[in-house]
Amino acid sequence: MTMASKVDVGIPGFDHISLGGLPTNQTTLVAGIAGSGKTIFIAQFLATGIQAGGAGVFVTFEEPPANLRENLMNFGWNISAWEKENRWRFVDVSTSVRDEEEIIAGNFDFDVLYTRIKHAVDQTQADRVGIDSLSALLYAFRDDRMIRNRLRRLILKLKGLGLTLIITAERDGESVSNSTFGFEEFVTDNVVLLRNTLENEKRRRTIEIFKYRSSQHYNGKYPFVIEDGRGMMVIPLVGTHQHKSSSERVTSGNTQLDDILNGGLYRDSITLASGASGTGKTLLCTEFVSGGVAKNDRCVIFSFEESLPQLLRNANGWGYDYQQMIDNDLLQIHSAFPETKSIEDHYTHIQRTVEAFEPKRVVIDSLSALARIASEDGFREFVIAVSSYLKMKGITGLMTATTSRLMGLSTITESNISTLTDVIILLRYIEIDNAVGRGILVLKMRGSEHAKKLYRFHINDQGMTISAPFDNVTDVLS
Amino acid sequence: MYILKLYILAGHSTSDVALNNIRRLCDTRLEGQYRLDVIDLATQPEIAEQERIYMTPVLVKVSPLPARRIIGDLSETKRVLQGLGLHDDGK
Repeated sequence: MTMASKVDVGIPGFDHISLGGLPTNQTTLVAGIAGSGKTIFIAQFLATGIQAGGAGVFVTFEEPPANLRENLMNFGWNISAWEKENRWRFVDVSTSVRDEEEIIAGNFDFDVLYTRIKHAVDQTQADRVGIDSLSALLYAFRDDRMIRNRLRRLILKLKGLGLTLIITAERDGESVSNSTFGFEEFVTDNVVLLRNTLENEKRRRTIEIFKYRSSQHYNGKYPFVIEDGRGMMVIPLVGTHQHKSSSERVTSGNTQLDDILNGGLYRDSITLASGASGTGKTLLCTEFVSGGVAKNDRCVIFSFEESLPQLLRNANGWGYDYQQMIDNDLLQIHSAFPETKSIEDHYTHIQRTVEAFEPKRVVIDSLSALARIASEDGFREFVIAVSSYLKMKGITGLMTATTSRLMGLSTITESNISTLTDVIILLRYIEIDNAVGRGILVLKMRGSEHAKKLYRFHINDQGMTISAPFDNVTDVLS
Repeated sequence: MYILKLYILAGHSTSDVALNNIRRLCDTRLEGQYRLDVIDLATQPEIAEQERIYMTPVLVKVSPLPARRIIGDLSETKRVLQGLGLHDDGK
């Protein structure tokens, strides 16, 4: 089966899950409840075509063009300018037009809509057309038995124009059954679902390619965000298997730990450090960052636990000068309360920061803080998305967690997060003979032998010093 | 004085039916007190855009007010008369 040629929708991440975009010259139905992002999807599709030198036609059945021009400007799409350049045309079938009373007195059809759309396409040489939405018409004529036939006829005629067409449809609810659309009889080649659900009081937007005629795509639901100034962005959870593993070793920042790791961390590895508050996670991160900077690795710290002044102070206490690293353009620290954004927006912030600063190392402290603000699915997807993204970029990642259980998942070692995590380090208080000591254990290290013992360590103003293993300690995994 | 505009897509069977229906109605009920413009949107699509027409055929009563749009091939005479503000006297 040959691969259909594809059209770039211009939604980052969508080309991932659709393996290149929408099939050229096919008709796609984008369905979703009110407010799920259908209009933005179409507008972004048309805007992308225009920015690539083409033209587009937007057929609006609900929102008047004036509203659309204003609202879509939010995303940086200057539709008025494009209209003046004859690159964007509206075909206005919005409700505001129907000022005069209408009486139905016999047989009719919607062929004149085809005439209008074709006229707009001819005038602009458009290769992309969006229709938003057919549901308005279906609803207005809901008592008309012939309405479906008439609309079907219209769509079939439009398909004959040989351009890439997107039609939106509104669903009543989020149930999966196809018949909710009422569109089975329409000849659409592909169906994309946009969902906007409430899960544990958290809003979750997902996109799913439901049906793709004669073309491959990834199955399942993928989270997406809608950002001012940019539009939609899908967070793809795929892609790691497409990159080659690195065999380059980098320092963890602590020479004893590098020995335990049999040479250090792999360049493109993701490490999860887990331990209760006070067990040394911050120090581990500080040494990881400082060790990297000393080798000219740029680093970014995303801190959701401590403020910038706190982090600077802590680091200074161990003899590490973060401020200097920042001044030397080798370190960026982004500190925020998790509650300031949705978890998907935190992901896009991380991605944009990495794209702009191009670090070799990234610290996320802590995953547990972020788990507070997301549903279970949202959090799991975040960890997968970030881990995949960092690996794809060949970045050495260090993420922390305050407990061995993350958000109702079973222990870290059992969850599917562990498939993307290459190294798991546990930091623990150890009670031995009424004294409390500190222990560090490398629980897992993918691709390398490592010493599997629980090591004693100390923290002083020099940082972390790892010494001999404890004997006779059994229960350290709790 | 009735001013009527009939918007059609020439070549469609509904257009011919509508034309016949309106002519007959005008002759029998309006007796010269009318002006009927027939506009073929297939050759003048920009008018369809201007007038925001999305179904055809459509008969627009421009005058007397109120303005009305009567959609379809006009075979439902009662409705057409209602739309034109005329009484159906059973003819």
